[in-house]
Amino acid sequence: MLFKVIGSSLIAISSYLMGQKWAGVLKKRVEDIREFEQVLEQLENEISFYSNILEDAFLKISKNTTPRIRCILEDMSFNLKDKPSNKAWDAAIKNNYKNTYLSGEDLKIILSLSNLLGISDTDGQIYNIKNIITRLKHQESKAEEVRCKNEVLFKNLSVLLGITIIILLL
Amino acid sequence: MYVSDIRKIIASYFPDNVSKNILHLCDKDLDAINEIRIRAEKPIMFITSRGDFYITPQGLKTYDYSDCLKIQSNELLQVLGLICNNSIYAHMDTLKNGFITLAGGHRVGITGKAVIEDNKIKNIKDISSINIRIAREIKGVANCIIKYVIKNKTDVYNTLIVSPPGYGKTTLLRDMLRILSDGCESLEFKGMKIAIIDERSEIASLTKGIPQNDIGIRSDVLDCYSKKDGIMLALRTMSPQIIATDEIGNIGDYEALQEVVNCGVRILTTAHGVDIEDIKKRRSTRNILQENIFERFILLGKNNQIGKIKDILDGNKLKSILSEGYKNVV
Repeated sequence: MLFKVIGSSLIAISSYLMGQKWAGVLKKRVEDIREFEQVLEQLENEISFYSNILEDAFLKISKNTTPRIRCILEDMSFNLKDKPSNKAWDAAIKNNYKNTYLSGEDLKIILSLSNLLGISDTDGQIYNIKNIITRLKHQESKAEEVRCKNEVLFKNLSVLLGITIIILLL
Repeated sequence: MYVSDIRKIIASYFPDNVSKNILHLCDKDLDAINEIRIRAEKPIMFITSRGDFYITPQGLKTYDYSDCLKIQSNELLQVLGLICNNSIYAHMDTLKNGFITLAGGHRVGITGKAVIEDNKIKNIKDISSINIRIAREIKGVANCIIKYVIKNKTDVYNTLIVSPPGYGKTTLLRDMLRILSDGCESLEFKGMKIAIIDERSEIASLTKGIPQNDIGIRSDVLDCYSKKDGIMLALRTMSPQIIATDEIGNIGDYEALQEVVNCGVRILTTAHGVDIEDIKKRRSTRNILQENIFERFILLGKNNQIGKIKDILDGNKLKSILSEGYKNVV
């Protein structure tokens, strides 16, 4: 009997945690998109106000970000020492995107930053960055919608799944 | 030291397939390079005081340009991107004027097709050639002539260094500033406060606020300021005893220099020209001569040799003050 109680409790707890994790992924995706928007806003400021070169700008911005995004920015700053900006950005994202919770669509938008990064005047850079921010904001609202819709669902479903397994096993 | 600098420039700013060939050159050849000229679809040319040379696709030195390493248009753009640290926007102001200064004070000249907007150059497109001029800091180069510039223990003469481009004006000016800033024991000169208006970042080569060249302990650098703005700002805020600039040449510069002299501050600067007659001919510098602003003229380019002192003239009489013995030495 004790074995059944312990086993059932373990199934219930693990299914609950699984639900929490699924729900957390949705939340963290929104956080990551939001953080990238902030990174781009800071980059805009570094370019338009300080006229800092990209290598310094990315390193500076990386200091104010979470570890998930920081590794991308630090990699970017390092890559810029000997790579053109488009290759440096692509490499930084491809090496580190697994640490983030961004979707394929989000990454596609973030990767498109490299098309014009560093190769036009200040106005061109700002236009490009603002355009990416707008697209990310759209992604953010979509991700937020998905989160609202599915967060509670995932949590409840996982608990229900756990209960179903327990009933079946009993 | 220069060789490592040149190696660094080549490794940092040239595409890998080009730089690996250039880096095959021996230290002696690299050390002799004064300029590296690259033109779209044309041979990479290395300019030295002994003549130009090229390299073969195997990285060997050659004087025959028919079979040598050429650079493609897309590689030229890649070089420009790397020279701008992948941040063209950060260099737009100088790029519009056709140059960028690298860390270390090396000046890069850029030509191409001008993009005009409202009768002003907005940008350069279709880049056709890039010229990297290797800057050299040579400490002690002004030791022999500094006595002609120092008036007494606490004062100096307003001095203009004149030579054609590439004859070492900036190198001489930089070393004079170092001595005048630190002081000179042998002449019992105490050292003076100097404001350097480094319009093209060639004198001090400031990187993140730190001068890469030795400009002395009493020097303040106003980096990338126009001469006029820099001079006015320095006069108002830094109470300099000497103001130094490089390459005066337009009417605005003349007005700013007048302001310096009227404030009782000494001026050290340079101008393009072969001799004083050249300076007299140019509208912008003619006024400077007429106003007797300068008390010393240092002419470079003796026997067309880089860095050799041709003469030193007194500003009022325009007569040589260089001793005969010294003339024979240099």
